Amino acid sequence: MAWFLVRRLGLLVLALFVASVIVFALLRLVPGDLAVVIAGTEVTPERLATIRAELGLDRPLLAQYFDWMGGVLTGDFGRSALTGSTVTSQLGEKLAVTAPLVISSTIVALAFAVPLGVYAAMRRNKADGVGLSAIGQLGIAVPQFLVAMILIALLAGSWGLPSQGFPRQGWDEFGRATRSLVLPTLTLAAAQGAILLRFVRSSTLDVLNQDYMRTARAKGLTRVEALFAHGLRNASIPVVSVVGVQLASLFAGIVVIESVFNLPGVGQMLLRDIGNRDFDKVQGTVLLISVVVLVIGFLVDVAQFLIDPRLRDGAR
Amino acid sequence: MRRNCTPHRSAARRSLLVATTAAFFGAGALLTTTASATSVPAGDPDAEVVAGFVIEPTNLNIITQAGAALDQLLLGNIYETLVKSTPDGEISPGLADLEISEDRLTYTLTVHDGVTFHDGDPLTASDVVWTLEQQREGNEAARLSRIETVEAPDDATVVITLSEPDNDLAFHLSQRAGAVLNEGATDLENTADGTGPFVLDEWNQGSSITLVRNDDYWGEPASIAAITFQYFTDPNAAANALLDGDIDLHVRIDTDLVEQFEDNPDYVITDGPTNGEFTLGMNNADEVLSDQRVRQAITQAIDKQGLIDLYRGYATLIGAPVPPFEAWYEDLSELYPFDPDAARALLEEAGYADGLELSFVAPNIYPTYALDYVVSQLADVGITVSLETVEFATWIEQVYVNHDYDLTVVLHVEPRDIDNYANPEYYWLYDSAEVQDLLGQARTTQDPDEFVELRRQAAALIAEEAPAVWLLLYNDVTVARAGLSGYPTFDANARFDAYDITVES
Repeated sequence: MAWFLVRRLGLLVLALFVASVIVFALLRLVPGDLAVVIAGTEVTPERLATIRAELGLDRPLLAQYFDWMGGVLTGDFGRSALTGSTVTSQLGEKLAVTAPLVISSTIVALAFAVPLGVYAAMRRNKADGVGLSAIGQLGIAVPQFLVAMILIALLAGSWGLPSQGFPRQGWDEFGRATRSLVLPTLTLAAAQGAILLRFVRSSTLDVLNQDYMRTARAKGLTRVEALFAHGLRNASIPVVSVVGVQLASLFAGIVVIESVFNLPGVGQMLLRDIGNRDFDKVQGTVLLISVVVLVIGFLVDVAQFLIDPRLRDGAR
Repeated sequence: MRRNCTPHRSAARRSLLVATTAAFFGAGALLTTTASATSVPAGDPDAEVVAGFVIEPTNLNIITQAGAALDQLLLGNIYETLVKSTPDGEISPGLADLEISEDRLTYTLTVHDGVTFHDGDPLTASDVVWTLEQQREGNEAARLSRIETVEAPDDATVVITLSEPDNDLAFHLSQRAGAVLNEGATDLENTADGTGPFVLDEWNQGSSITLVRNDDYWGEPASIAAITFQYFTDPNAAANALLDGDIDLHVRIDTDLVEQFEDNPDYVITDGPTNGEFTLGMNNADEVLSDQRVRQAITQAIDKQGLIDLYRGYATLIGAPVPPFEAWYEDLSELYPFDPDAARALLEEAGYADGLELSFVAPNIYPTYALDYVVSQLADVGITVSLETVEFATWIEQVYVNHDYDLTVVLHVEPRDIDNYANPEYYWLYDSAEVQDLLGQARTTQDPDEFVELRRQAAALIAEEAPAVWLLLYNDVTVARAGLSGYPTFDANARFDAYDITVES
């Protein structure tokens, strides 16, 4: 177990280093910089040069990178060059919207996908099983913004839910804040749940065909009993992986939902900062998110390690 | 359809002043304020108004940060200007009375008594001098370039000396260049200490900015308690917010989404021309486009009225870079009317009978249907256009700075921006000695009538030489809930003075 953790942690640090290099380099490939955003359509070459010098944009890239990493290693992820606000404070503020959204949609997705996926697997040759499977496929295929529009049209009026926005007072207005996240949560959960449903279904099917299930049936257990006693734990292994990957990609892909519902979250902030070429803030934010994502991946691996004895044996 | 057309809302705000006068120009005219005690219309004094907008400022530094979003938020609300102006250029006193010398080289400003900044500091001449010094090195440098010295002989007087006359200076002093900050102010990115009727309260970056009433305002305090600027990146979300009652009004709502408010008695729609010329810029230094026949062909290939129809009529037809409320406006829209056959003939004459290929680099902030429309109209006369949409920052770098484009499009929102056509280095690279001469004379002439006439001539010549196509003039389309009044309806996308807003109690 200790060796597994050490190896896995080493991988985590390496991944973060690579992520920092990629983020830094990619941002520098984007045309246009902070100076042109500040100067706008009043710009003259002289003023551009002045602003670049003031902001330190004219320094060698390697020096800029090491400055940044020096800060990161002491826990300073940087600050916006436009407003001076720190990456940590801004990300914290925006996570107050995005994190609850990500977590609640994952829970809702799991709550639907697991029972329905198992059911669809057990009734794979029946009309309802096939129907469920088809609905899952549809859920994956329909674009999220369309799901959002449909949900707004169907539910916003009849359930009295806000179709956009988040209270300016944030979670101080708890009721309003919660209600404003309902439709975004359902939208995110629809796509996420559809993917999960298919994974749960196929991994359950996989398990149902295993020898040990036949043995369990031979011992006298019903199919359902056998599945609950022996099958689900095995079936959950690939599903846990998928949930981990989905959580990570949710953070990255939440831009559309936040835009459609006008939620002041992480995705909207990143989009805006990239538009403003506020690279100091973007790279700090992306690196911090990478830390979160990679740590989630790490925890998922540990969880699998605990669920799956074969991994433990292999790691010895 | 309720559609109140109020194109020129007179800036005779706050019902007080209006002793004004003196022409926008008049040498030696003394402009003074006569304050009267007329009260503001009764309304709910505790009302907190939420207004929706599209573009959020990147930071609050009015000295260095470019962009109309900042003027819209801060001017007239937090910062006040030295003088004020009406859309057609009439100047009246703001924070100061202005006297212009006979030779038009000396501007003497007498700063009003009893004006204080939000932190309690009194406004003095040295605040004005300090701010102008900052502005001359910042974003306003070009507009203030004819200023030689700015001095304060005493606490209430500021004397500006020019190197040559500048007939636009008084107008610019009513805009951002004339905003007055508290001397020595720091952290301008996040704070704003002005003399205005509202105080900066809270900025939720990426979402909203709230201003609250300045109860110690030197004039009559505003009649609403707070105004929140709420920003929407998604037009549907903005329309939904109006329907939900989350916002009280929305400025420049997507014209595609206006319909649902048009026959609804709960909402009032206002629209009128702005300073925003939607300009199809051409690279005049390009070998192909340096030929006036080609530029004229492009002009005649595009049916502007068809484009206005796509905007559901919420736009104004123009034939030159001059909005209809300017004194030097004349209707030039029929100079080169839509005529695909004429366009094809011109192209053939110029040697492009077999067609022509041009690049089209456009910022991604304009409706795609407008861009596609231009592409298809040009295809009709045999011009193959490859459209590339880019982020605005990329656009500035690629088009504005590096001139790496054939065609482009941008909304030019700055008031009185006709002088850009006299700058051969401006991104169109339009170099017309005659136009430069006319606009140069206009800026320095002693005679007010000649000023207007010279600009009119320049505009006519620009239209004839067709360095760009003025596709249309944007109208500000504002949808407000009924019961709200006094909100700005002239060029509200460039400036949103909330002072006069009242809410029925």
